[in-house]
Amino acid sequence: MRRQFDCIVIGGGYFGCSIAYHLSKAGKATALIEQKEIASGASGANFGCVQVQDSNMGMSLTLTLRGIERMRTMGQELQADIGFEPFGSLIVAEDAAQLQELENLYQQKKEAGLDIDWLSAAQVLRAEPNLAPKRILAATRYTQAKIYPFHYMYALVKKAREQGLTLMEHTPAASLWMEGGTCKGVILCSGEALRAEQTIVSAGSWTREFCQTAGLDVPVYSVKAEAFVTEPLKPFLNNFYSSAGFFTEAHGQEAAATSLCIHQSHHGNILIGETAKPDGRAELAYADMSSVEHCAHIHALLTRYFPALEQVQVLRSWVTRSPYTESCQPVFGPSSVEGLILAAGFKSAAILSPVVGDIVAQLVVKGKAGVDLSEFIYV
Amino acid sequence: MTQQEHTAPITDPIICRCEEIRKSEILQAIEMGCRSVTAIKKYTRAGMGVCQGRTCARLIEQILIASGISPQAAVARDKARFPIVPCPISAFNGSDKEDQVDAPSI
Repeated sequence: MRRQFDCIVIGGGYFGCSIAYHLSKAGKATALIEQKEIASGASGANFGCVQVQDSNMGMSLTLTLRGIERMRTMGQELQADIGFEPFGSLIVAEDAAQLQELENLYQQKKEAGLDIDWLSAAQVLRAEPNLAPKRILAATRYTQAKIYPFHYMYALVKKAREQGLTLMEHTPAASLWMEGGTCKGVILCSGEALRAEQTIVSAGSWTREFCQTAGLDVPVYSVKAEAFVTEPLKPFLNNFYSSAGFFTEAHGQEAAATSLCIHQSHHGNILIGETAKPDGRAELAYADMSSVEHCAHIHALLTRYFPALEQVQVLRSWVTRSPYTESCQPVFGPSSVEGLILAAGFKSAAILSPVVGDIVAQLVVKGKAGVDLSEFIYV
Repeated sequence: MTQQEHTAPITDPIICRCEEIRKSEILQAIEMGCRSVTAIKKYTRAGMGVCQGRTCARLIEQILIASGISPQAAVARDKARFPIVPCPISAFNGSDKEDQVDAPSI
C-alpha cells in the first residue's frame, strides 16, 4: 500500500510536533510519524526549561531570542494552556575551570544585549537560601521561562490535526525511501511506503541511525541521561539551577558524568538530574534502567550542594537518550539529499522548536529558509 | 450537609487522589489526543503522586475503554520504575555498608 503526502515528519517530539504544526498551518498535506507516542523521547523527559542563557552565539542566539518571544504567545496561538511562565535560571560555577567558562558566557551574552546578571557567591545564596554555603564560586542569572512540555506538544498536534495533519503514533519507520539518490518518502516497519516531496527527520537520538538508510553520516550522538523526581515540598528552589559543567560534562563519549541540574516544579516536586553515560557504554540490557552510579552521584551532589534534600523521598526515576552534537550546533536545514530536510541535535529544544517549525515551513513552501543556516551542520 | 446533598451523585469524581485530578481532566487529556495511561499521566499528572498510580491507573484504563480506546491499548501498563516505593536520598549513599534504611510506611 502506498500513500501520498506533501511532507512527512519523522519524530513526535518538540521539533517534530512544531514542524508538523507549521507545515499543516501552511496548507501542506503532512504526516507525522512517531514510533511510540507523542513526546516519548528526550522531549518528554526534560524539566520544561525554556533555556536562553546557555545558547550558542551567532544564529543560534538569534533564533533563541526569537523562540522565547514566540513562546510567550504560543498558548494563545494554540488556544491551550501550555504552562508558559517567566522563570529564573542560574548557571553556577563550582570550580575555577567552570568560573572561566561562565565569565565567557556572561561577557558574550552581556555584549549581545541580554539582561543577564553576574552573582557573587553571597548573592547566589540569597537567591537560593537552601544552597550550602562555601560550595560555589559565582553564577549567572537570567529570567527566561518554563512550559509544561506535554501540554505544548499535544496542543501543537491537535491544532495541526484540525488543519489536516495525519498523525501516526506507534508507527516505527524502517528507512528513508531512496530512488536514484533522491528521497521519495519513508518506508514503515509495517512495509507500507509513504510518498512525499519533502521528508523531514527530527528524530533526536534516532536521527543518526535512520539517516544511514539514505547513506548519510549525521553527527548527532546521544547519551543515556537519568533523573529523579521527589515528593512535593514547600517552596525550596526559586530558579532552574544548573551547574556550569552541565552541558559540557554531561555530553561526551568518554565516561559517565553527573552534574547537577535541579528545579522545583509548580506542584512542589523537585526534579533532579542528571547523570549521563555515553550511549555506547550503556549496556543494552540496562539501557532503560536507572543506574547505581546515578543514585550514588546524585546523593553525593545533593549532600554537597543542597543537604536538606538528603531526607527527601524520591518517588520515581526515569531515563532517556539525550541527543547532542560535538560542536553543540544542530544539524539543521536541507540536506545533501534532495527531498530530505534534517532538524536534530539542538542544544536546547523547547525554545527553538517554534522557530525551527516556522523555518521548515518556509523551506518547504518558498524553497528558502528566510534565515542564514550556514552556521549549522550540513550533511 | 443535607441528606440530599450527601447522597447526590458526584458529577466530577477525583480519579487520582494523590494529585487530586478529576475525571473531567482525564477526559480533557483524551480530547487533546492522549490514548494511554502513560500519556494521560504525562498530560494530567494523574499517577505521579505518592502511590504512583496504584489507585488511579485502573480507573484511567476504564475511562479509556469507555471513551472508545481498545481494551488492548487501554490496559498497556505504565512502566514501574525504581524506586518501587518512596525512598529517601540518604539511602543512595553508595557505600558498602550493610545499613538498612527502612522505607517509611505509607
